[in-house]
Amino acid sequence: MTPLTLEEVLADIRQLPSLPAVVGELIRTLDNESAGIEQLAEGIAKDQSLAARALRVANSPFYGIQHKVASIHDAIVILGFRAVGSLVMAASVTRYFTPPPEMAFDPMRFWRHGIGAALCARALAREVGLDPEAAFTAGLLHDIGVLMLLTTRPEHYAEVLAARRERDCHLVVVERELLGFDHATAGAALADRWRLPEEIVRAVALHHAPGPDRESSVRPALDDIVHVANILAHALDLAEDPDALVPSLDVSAWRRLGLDESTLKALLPGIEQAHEGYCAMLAA
Amino acid sequence: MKTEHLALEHVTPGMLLGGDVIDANGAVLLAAGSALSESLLAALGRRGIRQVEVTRVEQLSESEREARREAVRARLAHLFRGAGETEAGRFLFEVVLDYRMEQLG
Repeated sequence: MTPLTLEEVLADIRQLPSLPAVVGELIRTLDNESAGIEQLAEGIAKDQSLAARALRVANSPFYGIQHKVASIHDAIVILGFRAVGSLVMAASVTRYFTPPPEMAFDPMRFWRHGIGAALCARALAREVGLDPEAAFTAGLLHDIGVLMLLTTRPEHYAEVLAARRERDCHLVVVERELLGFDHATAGAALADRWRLPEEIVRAVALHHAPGPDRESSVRPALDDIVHVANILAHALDLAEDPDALVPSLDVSAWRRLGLDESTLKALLPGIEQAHEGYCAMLAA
Repeated sequence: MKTEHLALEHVTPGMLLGGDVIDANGAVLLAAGSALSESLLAALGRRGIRQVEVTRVEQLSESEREARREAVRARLAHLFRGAGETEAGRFLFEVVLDYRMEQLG
């Protein structure tokens, strides 16, 4: 097979159709929940299967709502903006990037990890005083490069995945060896094309190698958060992937977060509980 | 696994459902095996559920408990098999292991 270059991937990205409107809205309304609800509701209403799913979940017994929830707007209020937003993001992006069937891609597992990393990132960001919503989005999309490469370059990526399984080593190691670049670089180029905020693009780019220019800094940034969130999500086994492999923790990033044992441990039950709720929606 | 019926107010978060919770119309509200969280218990209360069937974790023999602890430890070690031997990585491993052991009781 002819080798793949980063230039070719960047050209692929330039030729991708534009992002579904609802995803663009979600990204733009990141930090403005009140404006976001209307736009999210409008976006969902245009999509029959998403609308039906949101209503089905909102009407399930666990929300304890006595009357029937009939409007998307109410469903978003009940389920939470962020939870419905991630459902929509996952569903839309999965439809946008549909890997060929022979890739045996499991979207559920992919998003279980994405949502896990998003929830970990949000909890960590709150703890260290960074923007929790930007952290959530960055966590949700940190592996978007994997999904893109699976879809746009299935032959090359099948080789990467086979080698990873064979050698039971980290994905980025095989990617750098066989492709010459990794999913973090490809994902960041895509995030940039989608006009995500710069700090999110940076966090996607650096989630396996955070803070290259901040070795001596004491202040954490979003890339530190997403790096640790990805590791924590794997450590908590949130994707339930039998082959999951916890990446090695960057010592400087960890030091910048400055979390002690009791603080970290106190975050875990909330993360696991929220994860269950978000994923129930994904499966509904 | 052995189960017992408990009044809702005696159920504590973390217990596992031993049987499906069914409402008056026969719809399954919550499937057997679900972990009962505080918010789920509150939701069940709101739905008028007074009693649920939970698994009797305390009935586990010491050897069964140890087997379960060992399985959790082994899974975590497997997950961390490529995480390297840094102090920070070790710390994270220990925190998650501690957390899992507390969950098992």
